[in-house]
Amino acid sequence: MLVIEGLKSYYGKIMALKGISFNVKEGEIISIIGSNGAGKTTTLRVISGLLRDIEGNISFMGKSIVKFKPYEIAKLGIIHVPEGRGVFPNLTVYENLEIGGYTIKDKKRVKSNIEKVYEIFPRLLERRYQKAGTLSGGEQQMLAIGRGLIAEPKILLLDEPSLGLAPIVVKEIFKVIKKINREDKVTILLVEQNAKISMEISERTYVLETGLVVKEGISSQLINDDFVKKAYLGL
Amino acid sequence: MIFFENILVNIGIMIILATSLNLIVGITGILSLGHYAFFGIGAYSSILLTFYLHSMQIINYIPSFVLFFLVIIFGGIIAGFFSYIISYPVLKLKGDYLAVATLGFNEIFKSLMENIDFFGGAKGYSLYTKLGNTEPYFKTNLIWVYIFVVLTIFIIVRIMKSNYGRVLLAIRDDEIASESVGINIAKYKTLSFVIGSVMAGFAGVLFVMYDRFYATPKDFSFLEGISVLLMVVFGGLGSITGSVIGAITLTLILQLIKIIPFLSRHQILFYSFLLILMMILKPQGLFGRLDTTQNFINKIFKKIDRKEI
Repeated sequence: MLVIEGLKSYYGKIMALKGISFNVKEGEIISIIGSNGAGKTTTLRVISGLLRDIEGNISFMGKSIVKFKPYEIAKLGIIHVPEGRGVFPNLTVYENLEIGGYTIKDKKRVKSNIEKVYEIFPRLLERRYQKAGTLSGGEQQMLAIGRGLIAEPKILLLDEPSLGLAPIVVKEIFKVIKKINREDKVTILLVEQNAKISMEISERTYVLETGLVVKEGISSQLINDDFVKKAYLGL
Repeated sequence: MIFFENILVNIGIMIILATSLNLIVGITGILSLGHYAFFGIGAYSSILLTFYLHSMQIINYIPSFVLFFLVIIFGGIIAGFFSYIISYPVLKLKGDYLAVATLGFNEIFKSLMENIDFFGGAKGYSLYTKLGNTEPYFKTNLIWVYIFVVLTIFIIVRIMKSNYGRVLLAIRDDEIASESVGINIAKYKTLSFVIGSVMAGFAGVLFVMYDRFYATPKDFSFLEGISVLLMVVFGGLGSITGSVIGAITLTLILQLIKIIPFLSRHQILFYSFLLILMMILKPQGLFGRLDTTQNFINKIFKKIDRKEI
């Protein structure tokens, strides 16, 4: 579905991604793990078109999207849920979700999608008239994911959904991610520092280190790999 | 009476400028310091058009109020045209860079007007002298000004309440998140920049055609324009009521300080002082995000909508 080949990315003169290749098949959950500065967020930003100083190829459903603008990529169904819960703090929860359906012309469908998101995250229903900036960290993350779902994504790019959240909230959110994947058939590309939990829910994992893929494989096998254990699981 | 009418006209023009700048700075989040250039473009284009209308003797065929309406629209269109052209390079920038670039545009406009003889050079373009020391057939009065004040406020409030307005607020809140939900932010920013500039163009026409009939480059310099930004910040970014109240109070205060010789010589000192005071005491502005004007107008609309059903 999504194929990345020899992707290099530059911030000015600095090379952040040094030629990474990976692929995501339909219906999968893929996780990319790595420490700070490994290039995880950069990878997602390149895919969603926010960074354009790149070499290499990105193709989605057989079509190269390297030349596409961010809003065109979003229209294709690649929805990026930015790091740090990029919600719109001065809009209400409902308005946030409504904006999520920006690319859908049929506003009735947006409404029914919002209802669906309320079912997945009942907490958002309770707080629908509240400004998003006043929500707790976990609720903001739910809202960010929910907003991504409104657009009926083919693939959801999640950037560090566990960032700064209490372990119990992280568990809840990852349960939902798994559920979205299984029940709504949304392919998920997950970028995480929290290696353990993301390997637990994903089918395959890529390990990123200073802009290179250093390990890849089936998550359930990789979780027992000595290198991964030592470097990322602290065992 | 004339004195009060002058002040009221002044206030009206400032309300148009402040609310339209609020659309750009407060609602969309484009920190533009070049708003006065579009005010100037409106002013210059209107006196030039008026001069040509006069020399063509068109007044014999068309009633003067229609002509004046055309002149106002023309001023707005020209201002909008130029804002569209500069929006392409300028809106690629963000934050401070954008502010400096728009400030630069204002200064470019000023120096162009100073150095091109066609526009009257540094002395300015005097329609009054060009017409042989007579007033043109049509001019601004209180009614014209307040028709456009109401129109401006009305349009901006309706924009804010529409889907389009919500998208603008989203862009101001978080550009990256807006892009990732599929919003073409360049398009929306340009649109709001152009709409705001067209309104500034209207204000320019109203300003210059009210018993002045001449425009000098100095009238539209950045230093003059800073007062409008002050009104917006004073009233609260994003609040239309705030901009209106800000425009009224600050215009009145500026009238008052003209009486005091020291302050009138050092207006910029006064602006900075007021701005710093505001930042310390109430950084979100007088009204913050609260918007009574918007609520009021929307209430009226709701009533109308219900009657239709």
